[in-house]
Amino acid sequence: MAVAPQPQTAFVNVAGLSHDYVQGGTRQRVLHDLTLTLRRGESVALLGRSGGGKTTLLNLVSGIEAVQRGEVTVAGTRLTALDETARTHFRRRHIGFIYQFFNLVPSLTAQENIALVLELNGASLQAAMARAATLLSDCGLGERAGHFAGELSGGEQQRVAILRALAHNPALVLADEPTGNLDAASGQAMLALLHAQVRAQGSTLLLVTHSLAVARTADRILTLEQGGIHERDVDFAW
Amino acid sequence: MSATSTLPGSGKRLLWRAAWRHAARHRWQSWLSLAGIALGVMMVVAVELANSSAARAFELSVAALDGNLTHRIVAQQGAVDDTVFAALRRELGVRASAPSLRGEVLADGQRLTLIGLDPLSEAALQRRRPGFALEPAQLLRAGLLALAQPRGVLLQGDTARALGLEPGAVLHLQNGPRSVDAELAAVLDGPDAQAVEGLVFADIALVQTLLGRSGMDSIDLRVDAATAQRIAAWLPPGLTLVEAGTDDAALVQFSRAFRTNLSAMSLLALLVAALLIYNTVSLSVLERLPTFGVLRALGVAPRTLLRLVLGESAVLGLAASLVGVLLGLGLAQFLLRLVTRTMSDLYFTRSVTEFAFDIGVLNRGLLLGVGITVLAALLPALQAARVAPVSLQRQLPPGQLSHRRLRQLAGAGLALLAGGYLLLATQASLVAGFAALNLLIFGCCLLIPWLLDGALALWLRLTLRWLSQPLRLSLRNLRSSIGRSGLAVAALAVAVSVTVGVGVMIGSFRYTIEVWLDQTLGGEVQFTRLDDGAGISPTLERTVLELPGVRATNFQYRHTLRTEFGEVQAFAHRPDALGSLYLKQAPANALAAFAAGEGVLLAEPFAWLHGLAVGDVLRYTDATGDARMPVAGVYFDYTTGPGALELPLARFQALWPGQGPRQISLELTDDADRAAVLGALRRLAQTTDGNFGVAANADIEAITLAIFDRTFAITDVLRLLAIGVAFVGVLSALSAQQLQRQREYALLRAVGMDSGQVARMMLTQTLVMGLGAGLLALPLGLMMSQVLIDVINLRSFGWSMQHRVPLFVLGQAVLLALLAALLAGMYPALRLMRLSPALASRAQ
Repeated sequence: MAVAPQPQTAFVNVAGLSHDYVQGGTRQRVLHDLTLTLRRGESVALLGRSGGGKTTLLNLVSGIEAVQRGEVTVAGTRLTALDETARTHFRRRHIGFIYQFFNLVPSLTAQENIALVLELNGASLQAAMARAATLLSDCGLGERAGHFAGELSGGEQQRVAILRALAHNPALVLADEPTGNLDAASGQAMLALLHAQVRAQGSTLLLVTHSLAVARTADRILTLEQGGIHERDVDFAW
Repeated sequence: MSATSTLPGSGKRLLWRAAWRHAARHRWQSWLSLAGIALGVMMVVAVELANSSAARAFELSVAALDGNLTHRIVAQQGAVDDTVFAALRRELGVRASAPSLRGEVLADGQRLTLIGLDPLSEAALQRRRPGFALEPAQLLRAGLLALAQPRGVLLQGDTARALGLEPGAVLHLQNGPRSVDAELAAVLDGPDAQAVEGLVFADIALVQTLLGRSGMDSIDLRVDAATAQRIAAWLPPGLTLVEAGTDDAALVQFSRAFRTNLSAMSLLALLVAALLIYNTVSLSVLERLPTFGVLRALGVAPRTLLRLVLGESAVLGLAASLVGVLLGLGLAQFLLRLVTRTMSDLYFTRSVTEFAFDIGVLNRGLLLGVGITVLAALLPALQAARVAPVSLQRQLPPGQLSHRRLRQLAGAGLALLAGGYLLLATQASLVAGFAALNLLIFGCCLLIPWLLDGALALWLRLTLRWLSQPLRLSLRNLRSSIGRSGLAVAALAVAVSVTVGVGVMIGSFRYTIEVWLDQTLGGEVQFTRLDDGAGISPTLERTVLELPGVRATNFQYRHTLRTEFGEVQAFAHRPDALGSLYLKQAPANALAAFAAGEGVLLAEPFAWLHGLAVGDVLRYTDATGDARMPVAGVYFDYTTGPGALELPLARFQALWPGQGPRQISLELTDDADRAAVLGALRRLAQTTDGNFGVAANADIEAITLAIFDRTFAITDVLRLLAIGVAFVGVLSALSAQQLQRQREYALLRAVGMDSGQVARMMLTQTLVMGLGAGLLALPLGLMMSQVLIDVINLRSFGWSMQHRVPLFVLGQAVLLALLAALLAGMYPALRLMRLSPALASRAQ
């Protein structure tokens, strides 16, 4: 679903978010009274150390995990008020995910991986496949459409993953270390594609990364430290 | 934009496509699942089909002898006089009546059952016997009038063909010194004619001549209740009106119990298959957990994943069940021969081997196969549905179960075991006995992964410092995949325990039969009257005893006695019964009363079937009408038939004066020429009027045990098939582990381990699994044998058995488990040997 760029509107609103994990019998707090606002159409990079709670934040914003304390509102919908099924349907329709390890479905071809989200959103198989073919051709992967994930290079897999995340025009795109498993050249190409697609669709992008260079491709940079969010300048040192 | 306002459509064709491709890519896994389910369904269908065919054969056999009667008039002693039949028709006007006389004859060396009947009365009775045309008019035309020909007989088609006879041919019938050259008047080829295989139908006058008897065994009737009452009131003294079928009740019960036992065994095989299905489906789910996690993140609902996994299983179950049903049809033909042979050995003298195709059994096989598959897949499907998208980061490696989950499973297993024992303690029905057995087995299955994990942990802890690295790795790998390998071990242990349980039961039974034969067969040689005559005459008895080198040790008397529970075989012994019976329950005072001529000893199956015990009273009919005897004791008896009891000799002779002994047990003196004595006895048997037999005890024992072994041949087949299913389970588990640890094994190869060492690691694991399964199968099998002996067989047949554990059965079980596991490990080990070390350096 295309959303027109409206950079000034608050699109994701996280307030007073706290989250604990119990590990080895010990309760561990990973997010502490966290507040975050993302505007519609902007791209935001989130830097943080390993185990600092970045992935947890993505899971909470996408409705993958239930919020323990605090509020998460995405596109006017309070995720905290939704049950698991409603959150699943919300995620299916409004959110696109990109992972470090691509996570393509191994038993589907590149084209079918992209068509899958369209079919899940109600498109017929034929329409979904046609749209997926177009997307692949547009980004130069037309000849790889019939290949399975295991037959694609890392860079190709990640490009297919981006197309899959954006195929249904989600309002919010969440990318978890999308370049972490790619070489520098492939990473740059992938980022270029990601930003271009996100901008074209007017989606909001939350990009989790360890790399300051990757973070600097975003409109804003945030860091997640000791469970809280800190706004940073684009030229800050990490 | 609203979160839930419009839920998108649910076209899931790509999900199905992905599932199908996963199955196609893991072909070995899919084939193994398919083979497991198909084998399980095959066994159930084959046993059910064989059973239903045998059951139908049994019903037809009963019908072949009696047809659709309601009542019979029988004599309390001897035969029913011819005049009674004429008077019944004349005085009471009961037209639906016909005389019946039965005996055994030899026809060209083959033993056949001769049925004497009156063709015209049969037409009036409208008796429906299988093989005969159904309509009365047809009945007259098609066959029975043919009997009106002098010496005309009827034979079933196959029997006639086996004797090389066609209508019009002469059939030489022999009974001792009497013989008749009969003419085959017609061949019976009507519906279900197979049921009258081995029967010769002839006019009653011819049968009386051939058997040397007058009168009839019974007057068969088809009357309503009011007429029956009128007849009962009219009957002259010494005759009784009985309902038809009462004498068959025990046989029906026994044959049903036998078939229940077989069904239960086939269901055990399906249980083993269910474990295999669970194992393979859970493996398939575990392998796809990351993918399911991705799908969940993409917005696939949990219930969609649940349906997907259950749907896959249903499709697999359906395909495998179809294959299983087809295989079952083939196996059933083979099993039917074993089942009918067994039932024939146990219950009746003829075997009917016509295959009855039953579409209901096939449908039930399909439903059971699909149902069990879906049920076995339910837990893995729920696991798939519970996959949270975040689990991408925090899942346990496939096949690994948390210690908490292992303990939970073990707890559930203990609860099932407790439930099973409680159910056994309630002394409930046969079905409850089987339910308890299944609870016990399933409980053990849940306990096994925890036990195996504990044993491996202990082994590692105690011997770690002495273990080589490859052995350490083998044991640790096994432990880390305990979820899957534990279940494979459980499947193999259950299959092997069936061998132990049934083996111990059969061993105990065989031992009991040997002891019983030793106890009950007196002397060395038995001289027996085989037909239903008046026993061995005093003259013949003297002739036998005057033979040189012969001394009598026992005389056995036998006669049919009509009791409140139908006809039974009443026995008596000279000098007394107590030395020749294998007593089970006999208080001293009751025995003293029996020795003084009061009371009756009951055969255990008869006492069990009718719920009789010492102190109860048995009602029977004697010449004066109803009489009673207290039950003085119960003796072990492993003969089959409607029932048996032992009377004091004085009482027996009072009931049937002039009845000679039916069997004389003879001991040969030390100086006797055994061959000469046996030859003399056989010549005597052949030249005397009547049907006599001579058998050495050793031959009787050998034949009895041969029949016994033949009876249980079918269980060998079922046991082997159950092990086949478990073998598939182990192969599946090992192959999965080999596949999943491919990179780890490749790494070991890369750091210098040679292919032989890697293969030996795999084989070590399989041997440990086989050893674990073999050892765990022992207590499980012994528990199973205890239930089979003390509950199932006792409640099925009324037979008590001595417990005896043949050590070779236990050793054989462990070896079998080791062998099955070793064979199952060969292929994965060979694949590992071909593994390229380069795989270790490739990206995931």
